[in-house]
Amino acid sequence: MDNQNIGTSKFYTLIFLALVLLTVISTGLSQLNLGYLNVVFTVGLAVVSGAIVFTSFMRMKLDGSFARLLIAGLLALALLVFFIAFVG
Amino acid sequence: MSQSFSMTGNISKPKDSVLSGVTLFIFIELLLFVGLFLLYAVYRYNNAVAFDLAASELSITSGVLNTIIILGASLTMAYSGIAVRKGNKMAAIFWLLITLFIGFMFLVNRYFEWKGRIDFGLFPGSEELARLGHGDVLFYGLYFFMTGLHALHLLAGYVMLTYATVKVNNNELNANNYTLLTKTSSYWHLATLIWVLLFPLFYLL
Repeated sequence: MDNQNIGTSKFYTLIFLALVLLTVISTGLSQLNLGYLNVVFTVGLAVVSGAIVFTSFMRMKLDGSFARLLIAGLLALALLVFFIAFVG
Repeated sequence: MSQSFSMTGNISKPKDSVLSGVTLFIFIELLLFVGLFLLYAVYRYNNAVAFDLAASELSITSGVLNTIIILGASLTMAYSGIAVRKGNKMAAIFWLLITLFIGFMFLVNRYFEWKGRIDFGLFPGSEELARLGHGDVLFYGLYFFMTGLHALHLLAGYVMLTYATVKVNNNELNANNYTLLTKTSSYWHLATLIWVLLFPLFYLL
């Protein structure tokens, strides 16, 4: 753990605003009848929001082969959830 | 401040092998919820219409409000981390208390949302829910279990955050020693991360 990568107040405020915006966009899109694209947008925006929280707020730096393997596993499971539930 | 999550297998480079207990714990927690997401997926596949109808009964406004609330709690948590590292004790305590307050608001909103469902007789084991059919039983079973498990995580974070606030007040957590706050902060943000993924599943799809 080092001190070199501290986010500033401005950085976190912008991240917060971006996440609120993503939530509003995701909610707005879910109200439109876009067919299967509704699911694609909703799940896609949720994954993007989650990734922003993970890397910005939690400050997780993913730079090892083991970490990449874990992330790949989580993404594979997320895709599995998506295809089972909505593509079937 | 960053948490390096690496495991290269090269023990001669300890800096690349920092896999702290809290990081591993966070991944295990995520795997727990991934398992529940899979369960949701399978049940939704088998009961697509019932899940769609049941989800439309939930208040999107309440879900959006809770999302903004919990994102706000993460923001103030980050502010407190900055204040501690800068050695600004009063600001750190202020932001920690604000975080605790916002976290409490999330739980209050959760309470009223659950109360609304329960008042309609829509809770696991109720006759009303059994009358609606198998799909609704599964949807509300998952809804109460997953949002309840999330609330429990938030409560655990609440306890850790209270402990950290006391430590900051006693000068045991300061600019030279803030590891505990970093770990608490990571766990708190985990609750945000889980909610960001839970919210669309139950409210938007």
